[in-house]
Amino acid sequence: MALATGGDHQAFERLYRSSVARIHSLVRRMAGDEVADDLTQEVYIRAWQKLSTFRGEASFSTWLHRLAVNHVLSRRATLARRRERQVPADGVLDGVGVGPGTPGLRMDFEAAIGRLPERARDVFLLYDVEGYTHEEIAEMMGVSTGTSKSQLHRARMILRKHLN
Amino acid sequence: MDRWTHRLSEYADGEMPPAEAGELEAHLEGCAACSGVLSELRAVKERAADMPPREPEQDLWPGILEGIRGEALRVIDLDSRRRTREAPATDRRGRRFTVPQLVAAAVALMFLSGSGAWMARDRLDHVRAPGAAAETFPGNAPATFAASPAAGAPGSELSELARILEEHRDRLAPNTVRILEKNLAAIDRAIAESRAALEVDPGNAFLEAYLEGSLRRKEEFLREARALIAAD
Repeated sequence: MALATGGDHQAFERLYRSSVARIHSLVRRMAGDEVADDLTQEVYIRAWQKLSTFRGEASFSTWLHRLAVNHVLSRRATLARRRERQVPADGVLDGVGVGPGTPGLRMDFEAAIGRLPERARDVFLLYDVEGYTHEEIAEMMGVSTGTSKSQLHRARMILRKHLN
Repeated sequence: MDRWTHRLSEYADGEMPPAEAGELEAHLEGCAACSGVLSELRAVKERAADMPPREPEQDLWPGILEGIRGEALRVIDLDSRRRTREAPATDRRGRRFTVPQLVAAAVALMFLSGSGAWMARDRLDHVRAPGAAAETFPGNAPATFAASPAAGAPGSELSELARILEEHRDRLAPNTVRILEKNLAAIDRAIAESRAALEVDPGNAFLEAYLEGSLRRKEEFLREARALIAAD
């Protein structure tokens, strides 16, 4: 980390390789496959620019992860992601096939997450997948903790229908 | 669904106040529907927690590296796009410099803050200069480019670059100057920390290799910046 802040590209590359799986997965799940690569690159370039602001109060992975979330949220308005639905919850995932014990079960679940309403999806990913608290989510998304909790519940209620 | 349904996630996450949790648990004992929903919500939580990260299908590092390297020259592009062509400034030798070229010189100067001293002195003295650990680099930006530790010895190319930039400082956009000064201070701090680390652990092959590699990359950038200045 100290070498990376000193301008060493090789050191920063090591940081990249140790973290890209998690960062790219987060970005892909939040923003979609089409823009995931570009956004991930933007995240790391931004991290490089902001390395001097890393104070070491949290781990680098935590700092980078938070930067990635904030970047995706800030770019949301300009992302050209095609979504096939912006509909109320109940009918949104009809047709997304999930079978018990099928080899593609994990990918089906991710596909189902991808079709959630945007805000519910964000909260679900940040809480259940990434482990943020409702207070942290509320701060990042500019919503109340009550909204965060209700959106999480909404997401789970939708997804539960596709696990059985 | 009843009044508890919308709060089942809160209960599953252990975030319900104890008194209410007690009421819900009593309710669950007699409500199969809510118990069933609660089980499903917990299953969703478990599935989410079990989602492993996945590497991107292609290596993204080349694009990132290009973006990182492009950041230093981007200052030039931003300034060129923002400003119309101005009358070029001239130095004592009569060379003419446009604003973008001045910006390029400023960026080169930032990256020369380590390599300039390295070229001006014996390399060993640079990394082990007596009292080097005691040197204090400004936490804030230097008042002038010429006063920066990056300015180098009088008569050196570094000092000439610094003098040109200082002379024509007011021709640069304030935001450009701010960015350059901030980056210059960051470079100086990084160099100071590297030198301090070597003072503590002299002869550390890794640290010396790292410093040498960084200076080499700075030299490469200097060649690119020089090409811009020379292209008059």
